[in-house]
This record gives sequence, C-alpha cells and structure tokens, in this order.
Amino acid sequence: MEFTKETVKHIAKLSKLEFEEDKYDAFQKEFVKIMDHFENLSDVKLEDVDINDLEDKKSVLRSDDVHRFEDLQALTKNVKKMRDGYIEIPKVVD
Amino acid sequence: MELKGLRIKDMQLGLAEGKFTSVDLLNAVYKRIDALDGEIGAFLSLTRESALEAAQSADDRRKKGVSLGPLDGIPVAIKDNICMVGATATCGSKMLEDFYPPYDATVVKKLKKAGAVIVGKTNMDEFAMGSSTENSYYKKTKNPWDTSKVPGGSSGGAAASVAAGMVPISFGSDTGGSIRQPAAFCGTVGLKPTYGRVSRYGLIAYGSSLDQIGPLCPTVEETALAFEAVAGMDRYDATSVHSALQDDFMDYVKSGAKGLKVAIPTEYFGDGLDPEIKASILAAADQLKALGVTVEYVSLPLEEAALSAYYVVASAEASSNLARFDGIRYGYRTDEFDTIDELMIKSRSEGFGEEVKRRIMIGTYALSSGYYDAYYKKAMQYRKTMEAAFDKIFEKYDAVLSPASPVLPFGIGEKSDDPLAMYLADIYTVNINMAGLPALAMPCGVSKDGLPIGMQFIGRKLEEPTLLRLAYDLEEKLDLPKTAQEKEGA
Repeated sequence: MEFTKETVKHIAKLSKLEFEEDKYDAFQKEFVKIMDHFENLSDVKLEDVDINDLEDKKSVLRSDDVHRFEDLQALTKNVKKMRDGYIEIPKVVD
Repeated sequence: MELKGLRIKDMQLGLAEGKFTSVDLLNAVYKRIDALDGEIGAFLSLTRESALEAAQSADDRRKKGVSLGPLDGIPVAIKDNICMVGATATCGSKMLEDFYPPYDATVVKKLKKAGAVIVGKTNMDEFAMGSSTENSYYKKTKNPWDTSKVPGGSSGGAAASVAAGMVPISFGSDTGGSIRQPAAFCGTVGLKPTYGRVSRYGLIAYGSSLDQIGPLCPTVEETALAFEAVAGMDRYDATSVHSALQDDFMDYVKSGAKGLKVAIPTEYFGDGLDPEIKASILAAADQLKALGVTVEYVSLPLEEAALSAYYVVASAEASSNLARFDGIRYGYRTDEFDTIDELMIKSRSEGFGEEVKRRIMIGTYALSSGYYDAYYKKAMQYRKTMEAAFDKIFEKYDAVLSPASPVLPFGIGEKSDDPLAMYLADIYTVNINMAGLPALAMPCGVSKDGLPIGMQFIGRKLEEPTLLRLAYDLEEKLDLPKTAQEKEGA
C-alpha cells in the first residue's frame, strides 16, 4: 500500500493537527515503517473470528438514579473566560 | 525523623507505639523528596497542604483510638493522570498544564476514606504514551538504581518514587505495560489488576478498553494492601466488575504458594530476550518449585502481530479519546487564530507532544474509511484469539510466568529516536491488557551491572489474590533489596 506525504497530510487534517513541512517527510518515513510492521496482522488467519459474538458476556446495568453534583463553581474552574456567569468562547461566525 | 525503609507494618507499629506521628512521617517523606527529587524527578507536584491536613486528621483519630485501617496515616503518591481536587492533573502534557480537576477519582476517594495521606502527583509519559517517561513535557525521571538509565514508563515517576524510598505506595496506570515495565526497571512490585477491577473514574483516558489503575510498591504486602483499598465495583465506571474481594484476602495472600500450578511458555524465552533476564527468571522458577509450586513448560505463541494489534487498538482509542482536547472547553488554547478550525488545529498542534501526535495519527488512519477492516477489525479479531489462548492455559494452570520486559533498563536518550524499537519492547506486556487479565510484576534478581531484573505472573480474570499469594511466598524466598536505597545499604 502506498503511504505518501499526501496521505500523511490527509491524516493530519482528519486529526486536526498540523506540522512543519519537513516534519511531514519524517512522519511519512516513520509511518511506512510502522504500517509495514502492522502488515504482520494480515499474515495471521483470523477470518473465522467473529468480533460481534458476545455469547459469554453479559451486560450489567445499574439503576439510573440522579446524583446531584453540588459544586457548580468547580465545574467552570477550568474555563478560560467567564462573563456574568456565562462561559465566554471565541467568536466562530462572522 | 528520617525515613527508614518503606514497610507499612513498621510504619503502623511506630505510629501505634507513639514513636512518631503521621505528621512526623509525612515530614520525613517530604524531607526525602526534597533531598532526592531534584535529581530523580519522580514528582510533578506536591500537595503539601492537603497532605498535612490528612496527616493531622489521622493523628487526631489515633489519639481517640480510631483507625480507618492499614493505610490510615500512610503516605501515598498518585500518577498525574489521576484526578484529585486541589492539584493539577497535567498528564505530563502541556495541554493540561493548568487543569484542576473538579472532582476526585474513585481511587483517590477510596484512598482518602482509608485514611491515606496523598503527598503528590508523579511524572509520566505524556498521556501515558511511552515506555521511558522521556515523553513528559515537564521533565525526564531518572532510575534511582542508576541515574543514567530510564525508569521505564509510562508510570516512571511512580516506580522511581518507590525505588528511591520516598513513598511505600504509588499508584500508576497500565494500558500496555505502564505499571509492570517501570516496576521491572526500578525493582519494585507492580500490579495491573483485571480490567474492571479498579474503577477508571477520574483516570484521564488513553485506551479505554485497556486502561487500569494499579499500585507500585516495595513489597508484595504493600501491593496487596494498596490493591485491597481501591478494588471494587463503582457506579461511575460502566466497565466496573460486580465482584468483591474475598473477606480473608490478606490471609489468603500469605497462605503459601504450595500446590499452585505455574506455566512457563517456551516461546516467551526465545531470541530477543536478554540472557541475563532469562537466567534470572528461570532461577526464580526453580525457587518456586522449591516452594512446592508445580512449574511446567507450555506452548503459548508470542507473535509480533500481538504488538501490531495492540498499537492499532490503543492508538484508535487514543485518537477518539484525545479528540476532546480542542482548545475550547478546557486545556491549552493557542494565542492567535482567525477561524474555529485554526483554533483547534493550532491548540492541538502546540499542546500535544510528538509521541501523542504520532499515536493520534496512527489511530486516525487505522479508523479511517477504507482501512478499518485492514487494521482495527483485524486487531479486534486478534484480540479475541489472544483471550482464548490464555483461557486454554488457565484451564490447567493458576498463573503464567513471563518476562516483564525483554531488555534491562536502557540509557536516557538511547531509544527515543526510534518509536518502532520502543514499541517492540512492549512485547511481553500488551497481551495482558488486550485479554483484560491481571498481572503482577516483581523483582527476581539484579544484573551484573547492578540493575534490577523483573518478571511477571499473569493470572485468570479476578484472580489477583492468587498472583499475590505466589509472589508473597517467592519474594520471601528470593530476599532481594526492596529499593535502590536498600541496595546501597543506606
């Protein structure tokens, strides 16, 4: 399988990441090596394994009761900016 | 007061006899950290104020004759990806440099309830991705046995904090070996519990189907006490197992290994394993026999495909889990941006380190349209076969004896340029997370260069007590130094 610099750029875009131009080349070389290694998964015979067969597993559910989180201030402690009790976020539409 | 050894039973005796108080003990811990941590770098932050309050409460209780149990007043450290109110949880990342969790992780809640005194947060590879703690944004932790070597990772700070004689219990997390490999590198005991045995609530997620919190300690006894304090069902973790520890847990752990059956997979001791490690583990196996344990060779394939499957699953989960760091709600935000896309891309690119970006990229690729069947589905299929292979061994045996790492602690900077080489060194640990099994790493010898050698027992699901029972008896028989400090005779 072809793993080009363009593929790396596409993956970076999907990942919401960007790199310096020369870093894409470095990543491309590294990825080829890592992905080549991952190809050894194709050498194992796995066709018969059904990953959706969950016969031996059983789901356990807890009762759905409401627990109030009292410390409202703590919830907004990590917010970058607050104004009048509201979370202020960067303007995203013109 | 000086800290002498890290045995909890000695600490509890001293406290009970009034030789020292929990506050004295805490001060001795900080004295040791202050003296050594400049060089070792085990801690990212210390929680002096809340620790002092906790120690004072323990002393007040003791005066009234009340005890919350064996951890009451005992100093404990936690890895910096475990949330605790009042302390940052940086995860070793610039992304979370100023992140103060609004709640305590269940593990922290349980430790506080047991009276433990949490002294600080330990260094780690960024978002627990790495095997050397060199990927921390903040600093590199050094191996207390030889400061030119790495302590292993990603719970390298945790392992170093115990090996340097700073705390008797340090909690880490293990996604593909992150408790057991540093335990092996630093000569401590480390337990990765069964998936679901210890709540993951408040553990900042890396690979959610693989992550488990567990203790690193100088001896098996401390490990058992620490595990007992945090194990159990938790309504806040949907993957929590509805199963309690047996009532006579500690007695069972100390009941002797005689009669247990241990399997040694021939394939695990082939090429690629350091000969010194191999010899040391096989010598330990002979000691097991002398204890009345049945030790037999079995066949259990060790394939590099297992590593591929692990890295596909872990990276895929990481790429999804780390999508929450968008620069908008919390965490690092870039200074300048025009559009929402630019805000996210720049915040993520500036906030994450290289290895984290690499794994997000691998995971995104493995999950992307057209490649899902080739990578993720195959990896999940492989995962099932792995579980079945272990199940078959456990029909006849109580535990599998395996190396924890194919190599001895390596030099700082020695492998950091070759990510694939670093991944390949996880060959003995990743299977266990993929199969959801418990495993205990413990020291089994010292190399000719004076570095610790570790091994691991792998067990049936929920049978941590059996692993601890084996290890408790063997540890006594091997009688190795419990910390780097003890090795030097200090």
